[in-house]
Amino acid sequence: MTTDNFEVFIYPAGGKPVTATANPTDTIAQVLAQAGITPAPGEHLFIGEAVDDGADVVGDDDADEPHAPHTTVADTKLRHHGHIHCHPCHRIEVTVNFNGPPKSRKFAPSARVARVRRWALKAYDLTGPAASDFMLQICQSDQRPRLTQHLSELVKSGTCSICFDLVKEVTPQG
Amino acid sequence: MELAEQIMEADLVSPEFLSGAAAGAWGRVHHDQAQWPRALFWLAVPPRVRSPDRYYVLVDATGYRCAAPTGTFADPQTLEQLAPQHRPKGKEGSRFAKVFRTDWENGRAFYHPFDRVAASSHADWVQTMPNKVWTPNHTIVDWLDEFCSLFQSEDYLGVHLAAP
Repeated sequence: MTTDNFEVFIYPAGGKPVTATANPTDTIAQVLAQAGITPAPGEHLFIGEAVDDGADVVGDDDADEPHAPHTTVADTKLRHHGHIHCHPCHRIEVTVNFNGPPKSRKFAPSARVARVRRWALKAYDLTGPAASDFMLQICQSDQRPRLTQHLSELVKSGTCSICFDLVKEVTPQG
Repeated sequence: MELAEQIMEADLVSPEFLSGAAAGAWGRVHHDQAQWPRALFWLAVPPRVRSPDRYYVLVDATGYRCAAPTGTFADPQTLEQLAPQHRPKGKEGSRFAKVFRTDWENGRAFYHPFDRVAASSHADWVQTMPNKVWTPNHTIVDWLDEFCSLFQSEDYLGVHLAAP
């Protein structure tokens, strides 16, 4: 333990996040091991930032690439309160239903729901105040994930896709 | 320490809460007068003209998590309910304006199914907004995130403070 230690959040596939301690000299595998997490063979390790940059989502795929388990923390962008996502999928195929044909795009498992929503709103030309009340709801459920959640938390092992309906929030009445 | 308080304290050190705090979305404020079952939080909000970058919310978490918290905007010094002229305003008729209305219960609670006071007098919300029904699986993170999300709307206009 040194004063260079800092706190990170680890997101296991389809599970709740856990807090862990990282040191720049640690490997990602060591950080995970200290938190009692052993990635399954072939599982991808993505490093994510705590803050969503709010930028437009362009293209049909993300650029984020996973890191090898033996990569040192210093060689990644992992910082204090940064995120490590462990997921069997390299990409998650997101399909969104609204008026008209479904729209699809590939996202890294570390993508936040807020970012997927931003893409979906643009894909369906929903802009301005009219877009404000539209949220993503997991298909065939009434589950509307928080904007701060990540796809890695929602997509469990065994699949690399997720479907959302773009639904309008109901304004409380009565 | 009663069980509800223990559960709340555990949720306030959960990665979900800490991650949101680290991202600057919300935080807890320790205040001598905000003792259990009350707790003071701040919510970060997008910039608007002559408006703060955060609002403080005083929560009463009696019965947490079996019961939903209730809360409203508060002065972080006095913990008094925030005066109407300092409260966030929304575009007329918008969901934002409805949830943060002050013409219901004198603004002492949020007009939303996640608010214990509001939910208790609107039994029909279970049918009309089933995905917003508070359950013991929800946490203070869901509560804070729900109201934080509302501020991301362009319907949020700021407080319209008088020009200095």
